[in-house]
Amino acid sequence: MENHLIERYIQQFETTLGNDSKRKDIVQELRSNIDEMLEAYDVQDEAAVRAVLTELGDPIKLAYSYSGKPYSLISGQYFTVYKMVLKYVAFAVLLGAIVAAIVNIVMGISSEDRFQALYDIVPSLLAAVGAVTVIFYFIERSGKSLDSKAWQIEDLPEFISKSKIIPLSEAITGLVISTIFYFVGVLAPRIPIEAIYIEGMPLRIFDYSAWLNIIPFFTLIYVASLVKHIVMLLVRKYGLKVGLTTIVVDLIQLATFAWLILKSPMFDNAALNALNEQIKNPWSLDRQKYFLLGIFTVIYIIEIVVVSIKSFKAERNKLAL
Amino acid sequence: MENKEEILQNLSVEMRKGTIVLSVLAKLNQAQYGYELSKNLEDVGLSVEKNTLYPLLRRLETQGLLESDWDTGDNKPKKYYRRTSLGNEVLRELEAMWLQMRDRLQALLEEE
Repeated sequence: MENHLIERYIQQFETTLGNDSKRKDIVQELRSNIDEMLEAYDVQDEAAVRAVLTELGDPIKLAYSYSGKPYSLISGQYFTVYKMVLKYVAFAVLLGAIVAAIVNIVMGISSEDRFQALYDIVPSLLAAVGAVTVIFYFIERSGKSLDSKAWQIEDLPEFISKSKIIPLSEAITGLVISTIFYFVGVLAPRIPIEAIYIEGMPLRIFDYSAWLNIIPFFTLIYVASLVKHIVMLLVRKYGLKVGLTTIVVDLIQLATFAWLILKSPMFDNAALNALNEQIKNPWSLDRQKYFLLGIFTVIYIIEIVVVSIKSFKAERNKLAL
Repeated sequence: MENKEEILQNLSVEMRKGTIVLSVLAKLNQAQYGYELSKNLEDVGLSVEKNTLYPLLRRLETQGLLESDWDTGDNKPKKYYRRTSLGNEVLRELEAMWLQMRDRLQALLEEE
């Protein structure tokens, strides 16, 4: 029985160590230490084993002490922002699901799955919570935290008025809107396909089967958006980190949109060509697609330029101090 | 609200935390295994929780302040730790810091 307790303790300890390169050596050392501690007892019965293991404490915490890895998934440094992001993302998922369900019901779209958006709330919440947690996990494990270097008085930024700090509302609004758009698109994929009517007939500008296949690309755009807004919430001021993150995320999103608009099979080209003929549109379909991409490009360039200028100014002020 | 004994206990733990590395390095002029070191520290009134001491030995080894060897001669193998030359240097520096701190604290307490 005593040995059984020791083996159970060591097994949990070893499992927690995971694939630590020195796992075998650490476990052998622990076993040796337990043996030595037990030998101090006149009778090495179950009570002695219990006393020894109790003295060593929780094997999981002990394993983390040995490995030097953080005990918690999200440390206190980020936990407050993590909880806030989860709260708003969960709210946006619920709102998105409700909007999707209402639109489905009101528009009478696809009678067999009108309530599907509501049924999907739980898996959607889990997916959103998972995505946010993974992003925070990578930020936490990215070697250096966002503000981890030893603090010096020179690090103090120039006093800036509240108007120059990234407003909480800006990052949260971006977070909520992108979440709502993404989950409405995923939970009610027929809305953008069947919501447009011309003369009483639904105009199917998107190909439904292709729409489902391109959801992973929308997921990429959404996750990139999450990363951008989470970094904004963590840093709260313009500078190198926010500037670089915004530029990288915007370029990823723009490149994905470019592929979606120009190359992906999401548009129902036959329906669109028929519409062009019907309304006698002088522009070819390709030209219309390039125009749409142009609008996206202008929006992204404006954001990149604005954020770059703000970030550059912030970094210049920091150097001038 | 904590009572006086609890407050003292917590403050005492906090105060001792800062001296654990110094105690361990000082004692490891000769090779000792974890439990032996724990007992030796306890004997001089500087006991350290074993779940703190054992991982600490490994961390100090990773930092190059200690080195270790397994003694497999006995039927129960033991891992012996001893100071390295870097460990000796760090110990001397820490000792100087400790003595300086002790003198300053002493002077401060005598003003009371």
